[in-house]
Amino acid sequence: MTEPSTTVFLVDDDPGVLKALTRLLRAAGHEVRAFTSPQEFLARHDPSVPGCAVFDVAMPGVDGLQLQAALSAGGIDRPLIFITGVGDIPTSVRAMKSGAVDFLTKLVNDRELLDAIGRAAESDAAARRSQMEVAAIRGRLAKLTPREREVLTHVVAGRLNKQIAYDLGTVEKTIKVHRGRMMAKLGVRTVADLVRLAELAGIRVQRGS
Amino acid sequence: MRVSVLGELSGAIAHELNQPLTAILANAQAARLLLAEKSPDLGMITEILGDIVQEDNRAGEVIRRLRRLLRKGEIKSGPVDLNDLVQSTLRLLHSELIGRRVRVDLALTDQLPLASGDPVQLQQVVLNLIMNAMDSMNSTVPPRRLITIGTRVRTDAHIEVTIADRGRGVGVEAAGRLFQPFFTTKEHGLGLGRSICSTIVKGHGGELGIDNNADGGVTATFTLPVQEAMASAS
Repeated sequence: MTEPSTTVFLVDDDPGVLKALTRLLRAAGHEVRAFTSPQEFLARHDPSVPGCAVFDVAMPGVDGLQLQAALSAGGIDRPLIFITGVGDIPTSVRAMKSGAVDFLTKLVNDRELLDAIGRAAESDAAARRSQMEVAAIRGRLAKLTPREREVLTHVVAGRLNKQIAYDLGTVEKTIKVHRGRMMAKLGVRTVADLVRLAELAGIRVQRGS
Repeated sequence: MRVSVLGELSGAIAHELNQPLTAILANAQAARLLLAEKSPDLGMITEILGDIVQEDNRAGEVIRRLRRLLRKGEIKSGPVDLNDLVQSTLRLLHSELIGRRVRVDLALTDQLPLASGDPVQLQQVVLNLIMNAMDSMNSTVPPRRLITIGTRVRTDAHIEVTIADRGRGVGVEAAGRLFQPFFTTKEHGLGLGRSICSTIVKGHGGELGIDNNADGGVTATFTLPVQEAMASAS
């Protein structure tokens, strides 16, 4: 198999099926953590491990919200692939409420399943990358002085140095200095980059008066 | 008739067949991947083939059970504990009940005398009546979806099993035709479940009736002679 390997949290209440799917996914090069019940998964799920979850269960006695909480622990919504029987609408609805990203119906063929896992792993990896990026940006933002941070919010709002100086009750030259240091600390050269960074970090834009 | 029983049971049976088929498929696909490797793990492949055989037998057993269920004619008589029968049928329907958010209340009489009959056919009756009860509550709000199953001994040496739902009930016009083959109030029903159930119960020397409840829904009641009475009668 050529696709990159990932960790699959596999939940199946049928021991024969669990064993077979585990073999299939391992043979395809994936790391598998197998659970015989959603409860066991909830108790032992490690949100820090990248990868996706595959559920093949009718979910007796499972609280969808609890499942969703477990899947989104650690700030990442772990992608969930659901395998359902044909026409098993109640289970599908509950799965959807717990954040399932993909539905496969039985009998599921290997290509379909492995493709779905590939997509899920990719979206998990992308979410983790952007989470790391945001963490890095936050780290850089923490190094700004209160004044530099203030200038930042004005700059991303599209205000000119002159206007900012007026707003903050100082002179344009001082603002230029703050602005230069702020950009250097954040490692950006252009206002466009600065705006993108501020957006990623969730900084509120300061609207001019 | 045979095909229709399959239809009535399709949900439960599809699941029971899907499980071994899923296991067989995934095992075979795993083996194919393993064989494509440079030095295949033959021990693992042998293990996989063993499991495929086992899962295949499991699927075969489902078919055999189904055949026994559908076989017409002679009733294989034996002692039947109707409380056990109700419990085992509920286990079979476990995920179906949860999926449809239907609760079950049991009012089973302790020390219930044994009935005499074919446990597989009688299970078919119980299963069908519970499925009907579930179907009838599709438009009942989930918190009200309750099936009450009771067993008791009547003074005439018959055991009575009641299955009450909180569904839409049956209209007066429909009531008279309930046991006619191909009569159904369901959109996708084949209308054979009840007539089969009725035939089975009559074949066992009992009666099957369905009545509207005062507070909505219906109660299906069937009776079977207790085993001793059956023995002394013959």
